[in-house]
Amino acid sequence: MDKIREREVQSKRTLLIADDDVISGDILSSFFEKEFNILRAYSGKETLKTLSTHLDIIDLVLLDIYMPDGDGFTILKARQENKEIKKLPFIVITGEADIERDCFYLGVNDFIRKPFSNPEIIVARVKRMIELYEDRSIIKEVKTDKLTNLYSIEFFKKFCIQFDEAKPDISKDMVSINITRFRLLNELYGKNYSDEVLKNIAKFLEHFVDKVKGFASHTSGGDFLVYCTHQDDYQSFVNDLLNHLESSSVHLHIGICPNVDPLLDKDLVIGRAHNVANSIQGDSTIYAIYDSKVEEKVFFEEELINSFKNSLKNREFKVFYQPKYNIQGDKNRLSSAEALIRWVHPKHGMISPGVFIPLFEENGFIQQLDAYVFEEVARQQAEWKEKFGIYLPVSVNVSRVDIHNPNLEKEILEAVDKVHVPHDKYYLEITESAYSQDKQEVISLVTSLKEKGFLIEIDDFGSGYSSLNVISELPFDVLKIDMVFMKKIDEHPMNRDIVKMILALCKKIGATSVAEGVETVEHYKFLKECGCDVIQGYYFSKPLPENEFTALMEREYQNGR
Amino acid sequence: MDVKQFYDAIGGNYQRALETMMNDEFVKRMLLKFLNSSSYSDLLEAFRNKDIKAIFNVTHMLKGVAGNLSLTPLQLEAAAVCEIARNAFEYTAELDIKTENLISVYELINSNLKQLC
Repeated sequence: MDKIREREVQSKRTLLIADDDVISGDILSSFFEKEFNILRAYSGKETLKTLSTHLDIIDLVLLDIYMPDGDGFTILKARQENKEIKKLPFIVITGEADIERDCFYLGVNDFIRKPFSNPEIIVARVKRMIELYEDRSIIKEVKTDKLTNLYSIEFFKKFCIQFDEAKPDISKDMVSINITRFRLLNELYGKNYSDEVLKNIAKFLEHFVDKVKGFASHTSGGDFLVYCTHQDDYQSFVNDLLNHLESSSVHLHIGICPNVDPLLDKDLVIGRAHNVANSIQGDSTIYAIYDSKVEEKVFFEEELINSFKNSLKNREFKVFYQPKYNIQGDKNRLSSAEALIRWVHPKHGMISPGVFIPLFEENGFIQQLDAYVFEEVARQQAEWKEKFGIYLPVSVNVSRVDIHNPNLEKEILEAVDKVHVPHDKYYLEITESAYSQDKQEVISLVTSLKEKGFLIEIDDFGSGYSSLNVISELPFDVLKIDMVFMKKIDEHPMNRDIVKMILALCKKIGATSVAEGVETVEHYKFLKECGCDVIQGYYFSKPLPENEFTALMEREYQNGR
Repeated sequence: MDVKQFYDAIGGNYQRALETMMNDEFVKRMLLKFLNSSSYSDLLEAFRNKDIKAIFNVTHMLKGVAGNLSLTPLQLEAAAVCEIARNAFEYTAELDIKTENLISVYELINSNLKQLC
């Protein structure tokens, strides 16, 4: 534990009184006895010895100059040469005014005159000197971050101001560099790994600010700041940094405030750079430049995060259902539905999941939200069973972040078994990109869920880079063709061929094929002809709230579908 | 003789002594410690040996401790001898006389200290 923290837990400070005058030393001790521990030395030699053996606990030295066996000047010179002893404040006790100058040159901090007067003032001066020295030590300790050796945020801000004052004619940028989901990186790969990542980034930033002139700080966690001379383009900075990291498990989001107004408060500028970075978190974009629209977006997102808990409690998150129709056979038949979350925000109205899902994936709220959806869907299936006598299969999305939730399987089982929904009517949609990122975890999870009777759907098939691996390694029941293919079907004949190929593959391996995003009759006909089993999209229906979907089911079942 | 009577007898500053040392008991303890210290014998030896440096060292300490004990006459005499000894290249008559005076004052103080009950 370092000396400063030790001081916090010690009940009393310790003074060393170095004076061969025993009686004057006793009188001086009597001033401090109640509040301090006192060590005594009666010669120069004894003083040096006590300093070497008790340095860790001494807070201040009261030193007489005229002592036998090494006088006070000898001690002061030794202090100048010893950086540990130099950290201690020294007050000289003397009746001689003419030695003060020499003492000051030797670094003495203060004087107490003999004969002593005003014991209270003497005690107050000693205490104040100790406080001043401790503040100085704390500042030294917090100037740089121990792990990365970059400046602490407080020193960084001070240097930014000094930089502005020293070079007022040079434009400067504030750059916020952040490791995306740093907490998760820490949990998955361990502290040693994440510390190495931090040191690596710090090394790069140190080199960068040396080259372009500026300062860098490791503020906290996975966050860094740079204040540097203006750069016209940050693409090469980003490319070089990513190359330097050489790691596919580390993702960054970087925000830049260019041409900072030196009159603006540094906290405001840092906040803007940070907000810009946060606005692209989870996106494929790695860096973004500040503008006021970006800031509005960030404030809006903060509001959403702050209102999450209340909205969950007040059931303002609504599960919508988009029907899926089996299109093989003579009649299109309602075969299942996909559960899609919507947020009916009390202030902002309907909020698209495209807005809040990435936010909640980033801050971990997604797990609570998904758990809520698991329960809602199972409850609804049980209600429909009660009303219509059948369980309509419903697909629920499992977020790529949820894959890492150790309680995921338990949450799903609890939701479903509570209301006795058969596991084979509860479909779990997992995106191909989740598999690409965390292959082993996905395989392990999916295998376990399949063993328990759940049906697995691979969502957005064709969107990632591991499509063929998915087919060979992941046990699944349904393949959902990525919506993007449907949108591009008319752009190029090759896209139609790709869809045909995927459908043929599904037939071959015995998986049910689902095409989502179907909007036109032409697409419907094409897919039916190619043997697609199920389609989902605006051609049939947009996602519907619970009551409207129930009405749809009533119509479908009345019509014998 | 109590502490106040002692200070009155030797022309010392009792009030100041109390301000510095807070109570009679502590003052008395320090005075008796002073009585039993080697300062007097050290001074006698330095005077006997006409040792300027030793006289300086003893009187330098003496002026400090006498000042802290508010033994004003002793403090003033010791300070005077200390200054002469500090700047002396050789043992002078002035130093001799002043040191002798100092010893007399010290003896008076010691004889009163012995009466402290």
